[in-house]
Order: sequence, then C-alpha cells, then structure tokens
Amino acid sequence: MSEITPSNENFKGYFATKLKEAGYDTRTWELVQGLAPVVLAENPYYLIAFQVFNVWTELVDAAGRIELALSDIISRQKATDKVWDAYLVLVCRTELHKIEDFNQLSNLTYNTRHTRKIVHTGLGDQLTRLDEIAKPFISLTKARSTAKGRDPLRILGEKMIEDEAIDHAEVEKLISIFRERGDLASV
Amino acid sequence: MSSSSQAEPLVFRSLVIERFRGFNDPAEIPLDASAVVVSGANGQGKTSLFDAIQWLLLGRIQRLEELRFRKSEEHIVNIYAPIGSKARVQATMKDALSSNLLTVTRTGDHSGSILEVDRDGELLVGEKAEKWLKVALGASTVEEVTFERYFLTAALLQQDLVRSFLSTYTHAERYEVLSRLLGLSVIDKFIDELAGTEKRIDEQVKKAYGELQEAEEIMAKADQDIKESKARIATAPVLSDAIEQMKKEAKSLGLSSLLRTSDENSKKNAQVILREVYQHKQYLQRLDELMDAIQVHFGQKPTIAPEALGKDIMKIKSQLDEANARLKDDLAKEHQYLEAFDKVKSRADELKQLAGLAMPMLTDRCPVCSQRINVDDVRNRLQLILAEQPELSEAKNRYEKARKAAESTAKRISRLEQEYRNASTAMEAATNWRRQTNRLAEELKEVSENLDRLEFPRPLPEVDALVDWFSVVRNWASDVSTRLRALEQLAEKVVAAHLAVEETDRMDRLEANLEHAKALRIQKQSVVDNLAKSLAARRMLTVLAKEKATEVVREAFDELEPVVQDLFCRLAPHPTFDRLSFTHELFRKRGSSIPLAIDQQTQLKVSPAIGFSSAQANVAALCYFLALAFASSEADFGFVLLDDPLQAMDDVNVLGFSDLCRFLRREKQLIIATHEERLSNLLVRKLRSRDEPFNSISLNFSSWNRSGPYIQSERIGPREEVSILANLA
Repeated sequence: MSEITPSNENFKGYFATKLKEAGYDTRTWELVQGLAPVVLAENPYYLIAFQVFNVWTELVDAAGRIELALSDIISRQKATDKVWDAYLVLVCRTELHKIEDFNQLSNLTYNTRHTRKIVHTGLGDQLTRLDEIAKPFISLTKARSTAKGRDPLRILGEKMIEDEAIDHAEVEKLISIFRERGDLASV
Repeated sequence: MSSSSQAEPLVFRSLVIERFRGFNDPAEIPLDASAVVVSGANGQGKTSLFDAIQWLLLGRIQRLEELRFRKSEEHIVNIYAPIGSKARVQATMKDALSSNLLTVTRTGDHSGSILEVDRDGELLVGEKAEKWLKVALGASTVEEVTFERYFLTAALLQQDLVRSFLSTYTHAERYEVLSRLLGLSVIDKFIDELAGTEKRIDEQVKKAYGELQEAEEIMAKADQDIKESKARIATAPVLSDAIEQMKKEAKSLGLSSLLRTSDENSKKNAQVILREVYQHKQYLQRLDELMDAIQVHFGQKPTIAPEALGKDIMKIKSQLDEANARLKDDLAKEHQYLEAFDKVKSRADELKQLAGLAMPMLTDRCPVCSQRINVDDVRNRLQLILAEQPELSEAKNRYEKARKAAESTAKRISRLEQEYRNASTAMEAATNWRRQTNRLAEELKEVSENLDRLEFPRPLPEVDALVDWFSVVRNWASDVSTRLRALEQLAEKVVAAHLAVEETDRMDRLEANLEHAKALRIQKQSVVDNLAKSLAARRMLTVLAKEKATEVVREAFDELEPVVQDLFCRLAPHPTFDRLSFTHELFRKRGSSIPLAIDQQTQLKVSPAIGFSSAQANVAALCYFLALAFASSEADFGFVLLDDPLQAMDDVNVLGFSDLCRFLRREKQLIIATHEERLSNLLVRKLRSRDEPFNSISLNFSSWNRSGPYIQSERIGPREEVSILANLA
C-alpha cells in the first residue's frame, strides 16, 4: 500500500490543528489576492500567518507580499502591542542546495522590519516537522510535571520484575525497605 | 518547622540589600512578580543584585572565590561602608500556594556569615536555617557543594559563564551533574546497598560453610571413635582369662604377695597391681642408685680413723699449751733484760758525753783549785769511758739471748697450731664420711625393708662389708625386675580387658554421638545450601539491577532531550543544525555526556562548543541550562535567574528568546538582566500579561554612586489586546 502524499492544504491543516489545540483561534484567509490562502492563528500574544510552498522561488516571490499584507491587517488595529507579535511562518517542501538560495533564506530571516519571519525548508512530505515549527508559539513541554513525577527507583523495580527468573516479591520488598529507611542494612 | 509543609518551592517577593558589593545604603527592591526585567548599562549594579541572591542562598559567591588574591581580602562588604561593617541581604519569600511570607536574612563579611530564617515568627539561625532553606528552595540535598552545583546549574545563569556547561565541565563531570539533577543517584545508592546485602550473604555463606566443615569433622571423629573402640574391643583379651593368667603367672613369678587385695577380679585390683609394680620398680631403681652411691662413697674412705685423729689432736693440744706457757716466761725475761740494758746504756751514754766534753778541756792543773793533775792518767781513764763499756755489752748479750729464746718459742707455737688445724680438718672429714656412711646405710636398710615383699636378700652385712655384698643384691634386683615387668604386662592386659568391657558398654553412647553429628551435618548442609541459593539469587538481582539501571538512566536522559530540543527549536540559532541533544556513554555509576548538535536533514553531528559560532554556542548553552532548570527532579527551584544571557546574540535570537521568556515565566519566577536597552524594552513589552493576572516588574539601574545604584522600578500590570482576527471580516 503506497502512502498518500500530503498536499500543501494538508500541511496548513496540520499546522492549524496544532495551534488550535494550543488555544489559538485559526482561520484560512486569502491574505494576498492571487496567492493561495494562508492559515492565520491568533491568541492574546501572537498573530501568525502560515503558508506552504512547493519550491523555493515561489516562497521568495510571495514572502514580501504576504508580509506586507500581514502588516496591513495589524496596522488597521490602532495602538496594539501585537505589532511586535506578528509572525510569518513560511515553509518550503524542497531542500535548498544553491548558495544564493541560502543567501535569500538569511536575508528573509534577518529582515525583521515588518514581521519576524520563520522559514523552514526541505520538509518534503513530513507533516510532523510542523510539530517543531509550531513550538515557539505554544507552551513549554511539561517538563516540570515529568520531573516531579520521576521516580527512578520505581522504574528500576518495574524493569527488574519484567525478568521472570527474578523473585518479584523480593524486589518489591527490597525497594520498599530502601525507600523507607534509605539503606538495606537490615536485610 | 518542617520543610515538608512546602508544597511549592520558594519565590522572591522583595529584596533588601545593604553594604553588599555595589550596594552601600539600604535598597529595597520589589520582586513580587512572575517576571522581573533588570536593565541598565554595564557597571550600574545589576550583577551585584544576582551576587546578593547567590550570597544570601549559598553564603558565598563562587566566581569571586576563584578571583580572591588573599583569604583576608574583603569581597562581600561594600568598599565605601564604614570599617567593620557587615553586609546584609534580606529576602522576603513565599511559595506559590501559601500566602505566608518568610524572611531570609544573611549578615556577614568575607570571613563568614550567619543566616536567619523567620517564618511565622519562628526563628531558625545558622546551620539549622541553612539546611531548612536548601530544602525549602526545592533541593533534595542539604550538602553544601552539591547544592551550590545545583544552584549554579539549574537556577542562576551567571554573566560570562553562559557557556561553562559546554566548555568548563568534562564529559564525566557533565554526566555526574545531569545524573544528580535527574535524581538518578538514588539508583546508584540502591545498587550499592544491594551489593552490600550480597556481601553480607556471602559472609554468612562462608561462616555457614565453616560450621559445616566443623560438623563434618565432628562426625568424622565420632565415626573414628567408634572404629577405634571396636578395634580395641576386638583385640582385647577376655577378662577372666587375663585375670587367671595374671594370678597364675604371679604365682610362678613368685610375686603372689602383690596380688593380695580385697577384690582380685576388679579393674581396680589390676590398677593396684600396676601401681605396686610401679612402686617396686621405683624402689629397685633407688636401690641401684644407693648401691652406686655407696660404692663411690667407699672409694673416698679416709686413711685415718677419727679415733686415731682424736688422740693426735689431744697430743698437739697439750704441746701447744706447754709452748704457750713457755713463751709467756720467755717474753717476761726479754722484757726484763731489755729494761736493764736500757738503763746501762743510758748511764754509759751520759758518761761518754761528759768525757767527750772534758777531753778537749784537759790541762795539767785544776781550773778550780789549781792542784796539779796527771793528764795522761786522766786522759786514759776518759778514753776508757769513751770506748765501749763491758757491762753494757753484757746487758746487751743477756737481752739478745732472751729475745731469741722467745722468738724460737713463738715459731714452735705457730707450727703446732698448723698441725692442730690440719688434724682438726682431717677429723671433721673423717667424721662426715662416717656420718654419710651411716645415712646411706640407713637408707639402704629402709629401701630393703620396702623390698622385703619381694624377698630381699637378708641379712644385711656390716657397713664395711656392704660393697662386697652388693653383687648378690644386684643379681637379685635384675631377676626381680624381669619378673615385675612380666607381671606388669599381665596387669596391663587385665586393665585392657576391663577397658574393652567398658567400651562395649560405651558403644551406644558413641553411636548416639555419631547420629547426632550426622544430623548436625545435614542441618548445616541445609543452611549452606539455602544461603548459597540466596546468594545466587541476590547476585542475579544485583547484576540485573545494574543492567536495568543503565536503561533507567538512559530513559531519564531521553526525557531530558525533548526539553532541550523544545527550547532549542524556539531559538533556532543555526540554519542547518536544527536539533540539540546529548550523546551519553553509560557505565555503572559513571558515564560521559557530550553535547551534540544535529543537522536533521543530513544527520551530521557536531559539538556545539566546537562547531558553533560563539553566539550560537551561547544559545545552545542557554538551552541546556533552561532544560535542566525545568527537568531536574532534584533541584526544582522556584525561580530562574539570568544575568545578561544574551551577549553576542543577533536580532533573530533575541526575538526568539524574548518569546521564550513569555513561556518561562509561566513555569518559574523569571529574573532576567540585560545591559541592552533595546532588549529590555522588548522584554518589558513581551512580558506584559494579556490574559492572566500576572505582573511584571521593570527595574532600571539608571546610575551608580558611592551610596549604591539608583533603581527605578515600574510595575507592569496586565493589559488585554483586541483580537485582530475578530475584526478581520
């Protein structure tokens, strides 16, 4: 069974879903006439425009126009700090090879006059690459809760009793004594 | 006061700094916000704020300890403070859930400091306060060095030390820090304890094995006892036969007299016989020694009998008495003649003196009466006087004769005395010899009486005939000895027969002993088997625990990786290396952790410390630091302190970082300093809350003088923003 190649719309849908799950309002919007609609996502802190391109030249051609259009819709809203929080996320499914392409990538990324542009290339058919691309706009990994719940001794015990040759009750007893007393001197 | 009541680690509400480093006058700094942006040009006191927090919580400032030239060098108290002043840093803190505030105060200088914790009016001071605070801050350890390492790895990112995690630590040190922060050291301790129990069981096995060997030896001995006993019984003569033979042989040996006891058949009787035989052998031996001694003694017999010597002594004594009486007379005469001689000599000497005087004055007339003097006649007479006078010679001769007589008598006495002594010595020796002879004879008589039961040859001859008689006695003694030996052997046989009878009676007990020893051995063998089984099981458990510990460690590190990557992909400092990770080599209790950047497209890998630019490496280090601050289970501090972390970052990184701070402040209190006004303004804008009641505080260190920094603080409250999408249509 051959895998279905995801379309650009699939990419935009995936990205929109990720941000929606993170609490964003999303919609698809024709930001620039004649270009494919972008995904717009907004929460109290960010306004993000997301577009997917098959080839690098398309991206380079469209980037400026999308950026201006995004700035335009923000500027309609007077006295908002969100002018600092507009992001244009552009992804190109093909890889870059030529030095001039990399130069263009650098110029795009470092030109923050209107909006910050986050550009990723070479995604191919990998929808999951969007997980990392969306990350700057969503909360940090719940590392603290993971850390607080980490109990290496319990995990060790569980792994040990996977071995059938081992006396499970003995392992549990030893870990329980060690947890209670901090040593196994009484064993 | 218990730290367990702390549901969440502590965060800062305010800080008072006085006479500490860049601060001289007391300065109260508000910190009651989830994000605090500290701004100001370099040298305005921002780092002193972070130093104050570090000193308050640790009691020292690690980076300055390394720079101090002398231990006495003051590096804590403000240089413009009055001499002898102490620095003071006081924080008001609270945990996220409780509304109770507590104050933590450290006072001191370069030589030391004291910490006080005041919580609800309950005061902890010194060591107790230090320990309580460490736990309340969210650390699992109160050990100073480890806590400091935790603090500097997961709470405070110091200016200029951003990249220390990448470049200062060795791979092994980095592994150790990571492992501790991830709470994995408990596994090492558990495995050590497990190995300890294995060692103890091993010792028990050795001890039990020793006891098993002992039991086997006891069993072997019991078995041997039985065998030996059986052998003795088998070879022992029949008792009645042995007794009969002994009686018979005693009679034929002429030793029946020794068998005369009340119970001839008893073992005791045989033992009495053996004792008798032994006793008589002792008498015979003594007899032999006596005969030898008497023979030697008679070889030393004196030539003159004591009686004859007595007569000689009497005679010498008589002569001596006579000589002494004569000497007395001779000495009296000598004395008498000496006095007479002295008188004559005195008168003659006077006359000689006068004659000597007169001779030169001799004239033919008397100088008194002038009568005529016959000079020749007078001179002749004076000359006669001057010559030796006959009566003096006579007196001298008499005296000399008397002296010689006394001298002769004295010599005779001396000779007689020597003779007397010689005779007396000989007399004593002869007497002693005779006394010794009598004693030996007496003893011989006594021994012979002891041997009468064996028909000792009688009668005893006179003393002088003893030596000749000894040949008879020696023949008799030789014969008796042979017979005694034969009887002795017979008695021994009787005793052996008796013992065999007793051993037959004892056999049941010996067999019971053997059974008991066998049971003991089985019991000990069982103990050894059980312990050996336990040891094998425990060894297996320890090996398995070590093996699985590696998996647990690897999984814990694997949990850290997405956290690092989550942070790294937000900042994305490198165009192609878009993944930040670690590579770990894990061994038991040690390992190495090497930071790694990966180009996900090509899967090429590089160490960020080597392959990244300085700014890119700073971003990587920042990601590692923040990941540890968020993923550590052992040091879950309630705050993150970042002192100018953005040095050399470009605009894109700065924008990415300021966005990241929006999320950081939701997890921990964020206190961040920067010397760039542009960034501080950006942070202030970015950190203003728009949907939740979070506050931010902006602290602007605008100038500094000898009193300390001038700080302008501004509280930035939440402000809602309108939705752009809602108005889009």
